[in-house]
Amino acid sequence: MQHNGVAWRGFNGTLWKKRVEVADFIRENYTPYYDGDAFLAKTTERTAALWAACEDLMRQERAKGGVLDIDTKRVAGITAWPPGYIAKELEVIVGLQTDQPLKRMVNPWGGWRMVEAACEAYGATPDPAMAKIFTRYRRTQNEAIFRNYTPAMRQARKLGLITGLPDAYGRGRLIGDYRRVPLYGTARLMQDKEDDLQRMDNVDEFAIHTREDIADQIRALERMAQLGLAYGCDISRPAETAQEAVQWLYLAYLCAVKEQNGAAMSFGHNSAFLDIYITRDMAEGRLDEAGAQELIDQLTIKLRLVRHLRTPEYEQLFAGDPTWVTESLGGMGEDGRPLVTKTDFRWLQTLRNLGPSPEPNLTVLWSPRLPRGFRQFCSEMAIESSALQFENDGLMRPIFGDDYGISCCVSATRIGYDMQFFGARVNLAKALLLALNGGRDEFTGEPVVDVPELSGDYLEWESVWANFEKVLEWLATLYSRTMNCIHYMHDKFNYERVQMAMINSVPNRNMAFGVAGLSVVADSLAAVRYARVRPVRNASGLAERFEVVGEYPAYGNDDDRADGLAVRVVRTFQDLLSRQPIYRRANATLSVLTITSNVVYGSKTGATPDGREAGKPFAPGANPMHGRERNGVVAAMRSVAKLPYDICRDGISYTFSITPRALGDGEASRRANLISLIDGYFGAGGHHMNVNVYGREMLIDAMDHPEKYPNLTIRVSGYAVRFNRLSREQQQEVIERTIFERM
Amino acid sequence: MQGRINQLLSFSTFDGPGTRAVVFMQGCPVGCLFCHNPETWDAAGGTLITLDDLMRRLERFRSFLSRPALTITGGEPLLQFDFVMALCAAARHEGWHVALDTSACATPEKVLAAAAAVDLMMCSLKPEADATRLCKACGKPMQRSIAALRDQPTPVRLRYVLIPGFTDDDAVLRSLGDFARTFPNLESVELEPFNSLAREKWEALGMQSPLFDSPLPELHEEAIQRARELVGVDLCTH
Repeated sequence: MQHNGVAWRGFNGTLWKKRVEVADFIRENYTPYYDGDAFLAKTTERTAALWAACEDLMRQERAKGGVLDIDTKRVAGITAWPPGYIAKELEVIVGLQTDQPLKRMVNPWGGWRMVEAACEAYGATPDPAMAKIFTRYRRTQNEAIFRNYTPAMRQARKLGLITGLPDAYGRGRLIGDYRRVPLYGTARLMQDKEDDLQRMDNVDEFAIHTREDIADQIRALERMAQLGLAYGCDISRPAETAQEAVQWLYLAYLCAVKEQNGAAMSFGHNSAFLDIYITRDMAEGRLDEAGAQELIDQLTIKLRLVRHLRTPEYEQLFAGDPTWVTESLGGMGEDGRPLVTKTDFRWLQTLRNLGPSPEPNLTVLWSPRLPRGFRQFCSEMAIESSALQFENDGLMRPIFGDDYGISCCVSATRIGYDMQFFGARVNLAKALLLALNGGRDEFTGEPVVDVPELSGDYLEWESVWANFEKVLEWLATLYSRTMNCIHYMHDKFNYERVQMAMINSVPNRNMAFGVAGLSVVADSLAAVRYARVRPVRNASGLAERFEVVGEYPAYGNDDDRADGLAVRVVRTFQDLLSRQPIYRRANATLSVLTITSNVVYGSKTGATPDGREAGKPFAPGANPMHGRERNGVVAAMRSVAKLPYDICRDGISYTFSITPRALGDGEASRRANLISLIDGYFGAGGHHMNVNVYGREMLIDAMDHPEKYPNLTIRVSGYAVRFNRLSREQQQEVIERTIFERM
Repeated sequence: MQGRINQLLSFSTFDGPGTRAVVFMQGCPVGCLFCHNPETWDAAGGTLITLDDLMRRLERFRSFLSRPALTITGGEPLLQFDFVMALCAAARHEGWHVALDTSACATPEKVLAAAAAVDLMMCSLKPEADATRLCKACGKPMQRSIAALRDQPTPVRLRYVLIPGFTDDDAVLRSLGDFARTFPNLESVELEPFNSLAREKWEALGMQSPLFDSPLPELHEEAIQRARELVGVDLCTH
């Protein structure tokens, strides 16, 4: 063991000292907090000045069309840039992705075409030498994947059947256990990885692959220590103070976002960990509440400045430049104590001190057993900021234990133990249309899959379902093979050595599949089964639209007939996926999540039997279709809660929007009513809930007068976004979503 | 036993105290021009549902509400008197707080029997002089039935829609306050500013109301506050 006497002074426990086991350190040392928010401090003058400088930069960034600056000379990497500062004298926590705040990196590992397209969109030209390297000498993930794609994969991608694929940029979704750096220092982590390397014999491909990975991770840890030194921080040793703990933690994360441009680069579940250091410093008289809050405020500022270079097409899928720096708060410990500390409050307080913001993506792991004061504060902040999401700790803890965090939006990950292959999603509504059109694309008529043509004037339930099942079977095979190809190449050409250096050497791997358009499919199937649906076919026999005769029960009304069909669809599809051979022995998991892609998926999908017109957006995530929830919010929640989490272990996203008055009359009752709704939803088995409290009028006003609402933050599907960063079309869609109100 | 309902709303903060489930009964003979649910008027419309089914669906909302609370409204719920009485009894038996939102357009006997069967009576009151202008049914018997409630133990909330140029006359508002004060069991007076959000419903049904045909002058916060003062601030909710 190293000389950790100073760094670990006063810390209890033995297991975590012997082996890397952060959860044990937390259990042995954290202080649960049971009271309210009265202790919280406002932001310091220094931090307010720093944030003002950042806000100014972000205004300039918006004024320049979304990108302030691009460094086209250097290749993204841990030590590619000398240290950068916003205003050094104001910074308590230091470190930037490049040498200037908001200057974006060129990250060619994922693909060179993406770099060119993104640079061109923002008026920049990538360095010719770099272009030569990444087109002539070095293969990229994107190039390798496209060489490997089969014609069927290309077709499914082009038609919008399998979409949002991470085949041209980092897959993200990994959460390194960044806490390991402050707790142990990189030297110890390197030693552990060296030991792992020695233990792993290269007798088969699996072992050789793992050894190669570990060797990469060790190199990453070396570089990370170098980066630390450049900023004056010796992160090879453990952190000795709260300031160092926050700084080391952030530097570890920073290395990840310097090297990877994954869609979601989440942060973890760090509050109880940091709280231990803060509490110790306070006991030693080194820190007061204002100082503690300043650390979290400054960390938050840094997390809000994370940027990646994206193309306009990417923006369609994930609008508003999100980075999903998801930080999980709260949750219950397996020993029965809440994992709520004062630092969980301090994270929420940043929404007041610095104003609401989409990032970091604050996610409350909710339980009815959390302390009352925390529940009330969460509810209050959700109503005030529309920037929080809630996830059901009671569903996840029995599966993942208590040291898990949410990756991206809804994807639970055991920190340091799990990694996942982000699988984007398939468009189920389009799959259904293939079933109704004899396996041909509903727009182009090109043959896609071999299923029989349906006969008769009206759609007949048995044959529709039989065809749909055939399409799903074919799709599950194609989809999983596509994913295998992507992740094989990603591991090979764009490996996340930083994050993986902070994950166990032989992690549990999940292949995170996903579906979009679930409510459209459930309603369409309900229409076929319970009403009469007549396809109106064009000359080539493709259904251009559908006439619905009679009424059908719609998903979102707590009606088992429709909700049962939604459940049946996810069960069927997950069952098919779990039978596929998956790369690196990963487990098949499934999400019902769309991000903002419900708009673009809808635009690529013809009219559907539920009455939805061609090209119209889907509902986001697992939401019922806009305006079809006739029985109010509780009935809608009841329906969504029927989707089984044990089938959809990658998460089920539900976005809930309500006007302040409809939530309750007065602040106290709004707070209490929101708590009742979340408890009710989670008690019924619901998994995730975005909370938006606003009126439609305000959104319309914000669409027409964006300057009046520079910081208006709303939750879309698993993440929050600044309203003014959405396209007009996406804004319109948000406005058309069901916002529960009453005349 | 079956009843005809228009809608079962799972969550509302507009129909009585706290968060409540709301049953909209089908059928209403009163025909108020300011009605926001004209689709509930037709006594033959809506959907038939058994009491057991209704209770089963209702129970599924319980855990989402701050306490189990139900408001029965409509339509005029007393039109389906037997069903509504049975629903009140069944819901209260299961521990639900039950409020009945009624125009009291029924015999005084029925209104009194209903009052005995619920936890809160919410009565929509119209200004006596203008009742014929605002409603198809006559206002006087309704007001008599409401007045009869003042000898009952069940608390009463009086609901009154503030319509500019129709129901916001100073003297009328003062007499509303006077009338309300005669209720020893008064819970509160609820002044509801009229809004025209139901215009599309009226149009969709091909029905006409002068209140929805042309825009009314907007009710400002000061006007609402003034109305509250004329009625008596101590009587009014919020």
